[in-house]
Amino acid sequence: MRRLLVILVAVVSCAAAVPAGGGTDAFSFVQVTEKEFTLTLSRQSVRAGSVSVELVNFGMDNHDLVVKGTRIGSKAIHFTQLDPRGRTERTLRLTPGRYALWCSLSDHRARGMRATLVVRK
Amino acid sequence: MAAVPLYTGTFGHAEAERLLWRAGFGPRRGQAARLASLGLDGAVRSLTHPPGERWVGPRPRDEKGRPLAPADAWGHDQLWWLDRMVRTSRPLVERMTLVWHDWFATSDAGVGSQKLMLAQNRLLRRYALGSFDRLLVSITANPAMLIWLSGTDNRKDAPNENYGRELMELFTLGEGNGYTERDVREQARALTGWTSTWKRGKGQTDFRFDTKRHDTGMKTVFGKKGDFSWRDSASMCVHHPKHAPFFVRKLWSYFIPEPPDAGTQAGLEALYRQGFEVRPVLEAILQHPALYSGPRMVKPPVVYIAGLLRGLNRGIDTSAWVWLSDGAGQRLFNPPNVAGWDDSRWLDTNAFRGRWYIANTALEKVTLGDRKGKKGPKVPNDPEAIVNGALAVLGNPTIRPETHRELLAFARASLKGATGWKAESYPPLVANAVRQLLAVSPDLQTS
Amino acid sequence: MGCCNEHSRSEMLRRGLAEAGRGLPAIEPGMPMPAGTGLDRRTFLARGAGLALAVYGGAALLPQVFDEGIAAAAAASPQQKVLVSIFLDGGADALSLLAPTGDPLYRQLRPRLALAAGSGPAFAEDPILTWHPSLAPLAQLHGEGKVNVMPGIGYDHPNQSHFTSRHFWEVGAADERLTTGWLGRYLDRVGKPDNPLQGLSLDWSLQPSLATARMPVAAVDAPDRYDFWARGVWGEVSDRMVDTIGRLGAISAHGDAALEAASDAARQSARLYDQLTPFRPKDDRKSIVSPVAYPDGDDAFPRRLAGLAAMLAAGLPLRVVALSAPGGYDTHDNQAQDLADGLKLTADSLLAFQRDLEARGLADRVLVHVWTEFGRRAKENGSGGTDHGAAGTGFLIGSQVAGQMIGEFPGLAKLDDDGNLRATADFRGLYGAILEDWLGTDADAIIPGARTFSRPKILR
Repeated sequence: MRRLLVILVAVVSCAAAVPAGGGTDAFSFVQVTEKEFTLTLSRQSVRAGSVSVELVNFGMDNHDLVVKGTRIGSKAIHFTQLDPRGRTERTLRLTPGRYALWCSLSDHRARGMRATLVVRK
Repeated sequence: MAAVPLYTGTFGHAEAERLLWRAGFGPRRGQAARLASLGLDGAVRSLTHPPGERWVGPRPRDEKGRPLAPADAWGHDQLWWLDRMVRTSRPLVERMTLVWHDWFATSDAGVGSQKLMLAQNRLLRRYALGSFDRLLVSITANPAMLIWLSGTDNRKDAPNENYGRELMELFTLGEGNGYTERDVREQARALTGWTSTWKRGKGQTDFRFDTKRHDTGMKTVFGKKGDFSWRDSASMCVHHPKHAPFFVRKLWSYFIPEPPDAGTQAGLEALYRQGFEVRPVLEAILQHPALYSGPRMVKPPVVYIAGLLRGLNRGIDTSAWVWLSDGAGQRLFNPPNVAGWDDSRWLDTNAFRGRWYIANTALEKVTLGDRKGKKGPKVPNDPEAIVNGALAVLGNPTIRPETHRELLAFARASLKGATGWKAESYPPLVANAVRQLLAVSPDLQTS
Repeated sequence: MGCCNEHSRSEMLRRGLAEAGRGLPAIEPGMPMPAGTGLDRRTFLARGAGLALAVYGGAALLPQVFDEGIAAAAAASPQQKVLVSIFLDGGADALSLLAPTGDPLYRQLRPRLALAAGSGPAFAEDPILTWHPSLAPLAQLHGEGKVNVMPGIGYDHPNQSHFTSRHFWEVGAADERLTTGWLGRYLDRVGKPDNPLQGLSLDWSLQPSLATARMPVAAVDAPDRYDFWARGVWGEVSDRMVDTIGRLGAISAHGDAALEAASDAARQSARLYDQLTPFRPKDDRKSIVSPVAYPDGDDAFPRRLAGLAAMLAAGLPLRVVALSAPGGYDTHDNQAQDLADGLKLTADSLLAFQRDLEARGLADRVLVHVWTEFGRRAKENGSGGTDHGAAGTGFLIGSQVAGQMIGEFPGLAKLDDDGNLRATADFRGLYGAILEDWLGTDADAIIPGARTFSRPKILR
């Protein structure tokens, strides 16, 4: 089952990694800044469509990011773990709703590394 | 009162060019000639009293054609500002914003918010030519600065001297010049009270002054006693007798490489002391003989980039500038530390290669020759025409005769014996090479 | 079949790293981060060395400091022992590199892929084994006593994910979270903060086994990335263009300090370009003057080895060097052809490299370690290939090696529960021996649990 999930995530991320083509798609950017022990978004809401999510590690420890819709059945999207000063970016296709973001390492989420991103129509 | 010397020599194309490079980001096509026609006084006034902003050129895009998101996308903040440098019709305002960015060097690496850095940038621009006193007071309360130099960590029960020290050491007086360690401690007390609220997901917000956190006691700063607060902290530095000399020397050094003579120094200080306004001092500097007959200065990397784009009539259409300017040693919004950029290091061999690739990218849209099966415009098998063409494409910059001769010699040697198939294919190669060489020549690295 | 997507995609993802300033794009959850990801990278031209380097780590130091550091290190230890680590990427099939042609089980497990006895040189130390024909050059060196063969090297609880197993080999431990390479930790222990050549990745980016926590290391990329090239300019026009950089820099600045600085930079850059020429092959002209002939062709591997020998001969202070061999070894299909091609170029180049070092009098200083992240399953699959296995083959090559097998051939009768070869040597024990006997440092401080692994004899 885990293997299937891995493949699904791989497929989703493959599709999501291709930037939206035609002009009808909204394209937004949001930057997620992490340090000990906080997670900050450069904006609190974005338009639904293609969203470039950039993760930046401003801290001194390693951090990562998980993005998951709050609707039942939403898949969690995992970002690569970053060393301090590391940076990574993924373009995701997000439908309207609320998304929870958090760092999945150790107890970082409990210590405050979490936030909510609102995706508007 | 000593008068500041005024340049009385020729104010022609070459002088106007240099003025535009020092007080802006280089000329757009034809701009140097137009400025020269105003005469020195008119030219300087047009810079120090600019009309309302009128952007010239296409809006910025990244290489995928997307508009910029300066607060949310990595590098887009730098592109946004670079675009202003390219399209502005108020170059001195934009150049002074860059000066203040170096003067009050705040790095996003320590702030962690492009949005707050952009807000600081707007503040610097607002006071580009105005009151230094009000600029200093405002920057003291600026959220990015409060984070950067621990202003919000400075509390009545646990003073933090970071900002208080740099306020004097770097921003207003110079190291150890007219203040003691006791002044640093007392300034820190006076600066207490600033705080913010941490909101999950938003970061530090709601920056405000909270009297409950402020040390209301009597402080002694520069020998004066009072229940000083943060506004006093800043203003007292501006009114300190050693500030005006420091200010004049530092501001001058951004525009003219050799320090002013004693008479000039005294004259500029007198101008500054009249109201601690930047504009009158700048006007005098920009009309000083040393600017026109003195030696050159190396163009900082972002000035070099913006200038190339202005001369080539090209807008911001790729995010490559972000890492290209980094390769040459300068990332906007990311000075290496609070002392700003070290402009004695703009041109080591590492940075030269960075500039080589800046030029390469700048010229990419005008590369000659057949591309992807499409025939390019015909390039004459003529060294002189090739060199003149390169000069024209870059906006006809002034170069030394020796440089012109070397470029001609290169073109001649490359075309010599280019017979047969080479007669057709070599001229575009040579023309591209001449443009590249011209763009990285010592002439164009300096102004 | 599903797996080779993982491997080629992982390669694609790793290659995507080349863009300056960005971290790796996301990889699948559960995969360890390659050691060294996120390290600062700065490019600079090392004047004295005549090299353009990308330096990882040491971010606070000025380029001049590296210049001086390189010179000082070169002067201090001219006879420094060097380790060259060569990676066969994808899990090279042990049973093809050294085929057990003398074992009847072999033909049963590999009806299509089995190599015939006599197709390659016999293996002198074990009559059951035959060298792959493409490895004849290694057989030759083995005959001279210059090769230690590890016919079944791996670790217990083998992991069959490329990323994970490779990661273990790179960090010198079965630890997914370790972020420094085993050679990086060696350099952190004995290296100098101003000598980025002490760890050299001959690749477009840092080989993770070199990833340090503190000491700077460097990558010398494909040569043309450090060229002064311009769009729409090539050939002799390009050569003359770069030459003209120097000529423009030679124009007198008449005492103008800024012009002087710009002119200096131009002159030095042009001079460096000249100095780079011996280390940088150009067009179809081989610029490295080697005392021996290396294989021809487009692949960077023989050129990198030739360049490495030249750098060592020039006295550059290298300690550890890492690069990848040519070819793809993740042979789920088309194994016969792919292996033959990749191994031939690799072995031919390694033989040339050894002869080059001997001719230059450097052979006693250099040890070459060839490794792969796992071997492959004993039973072939239905597509003319094999799937991921466990223990694999490795080699140590050099004039100082003992010339003896390390661990015996595991045999086909006692495969593990997955049908894979059992390891008869542990890579961590081998690392311990390399660190202590060759590099002369304390293995315990570098390999976690070093003492628990038996340490083979590697040198004569």
